[in-house]
Amino acid sequence: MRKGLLINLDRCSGCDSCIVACKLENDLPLGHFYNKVIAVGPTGTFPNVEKYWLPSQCQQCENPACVHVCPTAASYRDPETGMVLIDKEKCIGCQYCIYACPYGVRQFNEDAGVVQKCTLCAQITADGDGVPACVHNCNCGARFFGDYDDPESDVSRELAKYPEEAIHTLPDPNDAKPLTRYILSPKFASWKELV
Amino acid sequence: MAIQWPLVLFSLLAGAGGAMLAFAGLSQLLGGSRTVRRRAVWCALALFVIGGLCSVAHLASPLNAISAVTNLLSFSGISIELMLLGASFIAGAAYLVLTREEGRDGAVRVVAVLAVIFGVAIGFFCGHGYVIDAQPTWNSETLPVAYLGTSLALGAFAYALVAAATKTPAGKAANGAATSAVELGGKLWPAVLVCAVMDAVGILAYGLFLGLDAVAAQGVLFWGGAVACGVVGVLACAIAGMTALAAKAPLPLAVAGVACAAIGGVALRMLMWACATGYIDLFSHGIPSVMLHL
Repeated sequence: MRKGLLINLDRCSGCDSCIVACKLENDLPLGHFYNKVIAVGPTGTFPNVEKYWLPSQCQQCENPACVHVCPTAASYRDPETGMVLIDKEKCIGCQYCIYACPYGVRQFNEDAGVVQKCTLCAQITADGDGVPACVHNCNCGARFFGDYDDPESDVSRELAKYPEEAIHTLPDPNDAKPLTRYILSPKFASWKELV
Repeated sequence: MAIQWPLVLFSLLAGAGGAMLAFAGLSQLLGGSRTVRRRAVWCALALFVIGGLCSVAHLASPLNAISAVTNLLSFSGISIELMLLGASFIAGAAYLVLTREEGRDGAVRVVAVLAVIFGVAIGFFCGHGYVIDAQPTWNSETLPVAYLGTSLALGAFAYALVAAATKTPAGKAANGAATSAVELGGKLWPAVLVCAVMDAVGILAYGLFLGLDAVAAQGVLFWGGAVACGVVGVLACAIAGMTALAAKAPLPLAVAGVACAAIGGVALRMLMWACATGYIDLFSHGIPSVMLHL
């Protein structure tokens, strides 16, 4: 099983509802995030300009560097769901996972003394039902959650609607295998590799 | 990325302690003063303890260090550093116990060889944990080589300082200069020069890996701290040690070397943190979320 997010950038308007929903659901204090929405662009020369929004959070890597460097196995990939999670009871706050994450989507919570990141709202999704708050509250219907190995899941069905050239992942520095997929059709904007 | 001072100090102090331990081991194998060796090993143990405490200060809570120790076999970068720190400390402590009395030459030689191996390894592996794909400015083997070089230089000058400050009334050595002259079978300053060269090679190699644009953005750290002090100053002190100055003023020479090597070692580590960019640092982009004060 490989549970993760699929984000359709053709639909994303950059409204930040996912950020708000995430912060409310996970009770994140000021300045703390599990996800952010980044503006990519505008690029090009008028009138041929383009811009898209890139919601970013843990990419749920299948070969996560954060897990490899963790000295206490606090960062782990759940063998049942494939979700990359943090056991806060085991986290010693050394922050090596923050240095090792290629996407910079982990933060150190100084008050709690632990590293935090997107959990795919495990408190909601752990029993197999429900979707993360960011997916539930996406105004544009741009976010999908499910098992990439299940052809009937929301993510697989949405992916099946698009051709290969519209499906993207973030650049992979060394076989981290980020699971999160982004859909961006060339008719809306060209995908930027960011590195 | 913010400079992580506990890690800067840990890696330099533990690495320098390892180098002092390695020099004590070499002195045991090649010849030198037992008093100098024992004092140097005491200093090394003190550096390990202080460095270890600095490392603990980096954790969210000092008690979390227990979790790191109980997961020693994870073979993460931290666990390898911990293993080498423990092995070096044990080797140093065993040396002190074994050399309290005469007549344990075989065991002492074995411990001396282990001290050399562990002492050099800890300097390298304190830097090797940072060689990760997610940090393009760290992802080079020149980084641990630079960590090793700066650790060796500081430890070597610190050992020379201990030798210069030790006056052994018994035997031929009657003052600090004479004590230094017999250390490592009379090869103390050539050994210091070798370490200084490794220090210079490591710093320059890492600087070249970073590129001129990156180091120019950290001009004071690189040109002032790492190059002027860490390379030129260290090499100058080591070369001076090969001249008559080593016999005339070994103590000031060693003090100057320690100062230059310490500044160079700290500057190199600060440079590493200051130049860290991340592969794709997605959360460094604040807009529009920052505008909403989320």
